[in-house]
Amino acid sequence: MNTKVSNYKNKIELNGKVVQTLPNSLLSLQKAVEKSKYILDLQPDWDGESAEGYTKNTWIKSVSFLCEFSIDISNTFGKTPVTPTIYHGPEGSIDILWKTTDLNLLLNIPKDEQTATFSGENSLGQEYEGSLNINNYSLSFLPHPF
Amino acid sequence: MWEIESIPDDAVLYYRVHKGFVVEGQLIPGAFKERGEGENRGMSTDWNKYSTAEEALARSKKPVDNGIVSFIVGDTRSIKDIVAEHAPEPDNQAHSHIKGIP
Repeated sequence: MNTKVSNYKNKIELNGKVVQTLPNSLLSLQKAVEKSKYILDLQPDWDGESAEGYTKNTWIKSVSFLCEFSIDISNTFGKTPVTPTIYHGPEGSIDILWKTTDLNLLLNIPKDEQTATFSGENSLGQEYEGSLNINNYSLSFLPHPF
Repeated sequence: MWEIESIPDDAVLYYRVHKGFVVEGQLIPGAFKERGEGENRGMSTDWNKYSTAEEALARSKKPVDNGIVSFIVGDTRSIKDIVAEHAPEPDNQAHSHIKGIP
């Protein structure tokens, strides 16, 4: 996985290793990421119906992408993106949900090397759906959550 | 084996949700998922023609850890690409699938 770790003051760490750093303008994202660490505590069969557990690799690649994407948005447009919520998704995947009165966007990052998928809609009735290679993406591929 | 029937729009489908899919009092997106492969892939529900909500809940491995979400079929079908169809199983005539979840 290609991950570029930015050099900001606020660190996101897992087991003592820096996963990503964030500028002060994205402190709420740091909190959301920290909160999402509960996902790593979900063991296989956590739902009693054979659900998969969640690997550190899946969490790290999801969080790394989310931070990179948010920094890119911030630097490119000069706007702070909406802070999403990060949840455990189906089959060992991770869901990232941006939800505002104007936008509802769900990005699902699978556990393996498959491309991520997204869907959603905005208050103008426009719908979004597609796939995204999170290792090689352009900002124009995903609706901008701000 | 049971005959596959057409589910009318005013029918209700019951869907079991584990408490682990409720975060801070809200159902999370991952609660709604398809399982299985090929033709048999879909989100498993029980049709109210052949099951009560209580019976649907009792089919979970640990009912006390689960709840039931009800879908009105017509509302479900009004969502783009979503299909609701009867998919009876030998031991469950009510079994139905919701397909097309992104």
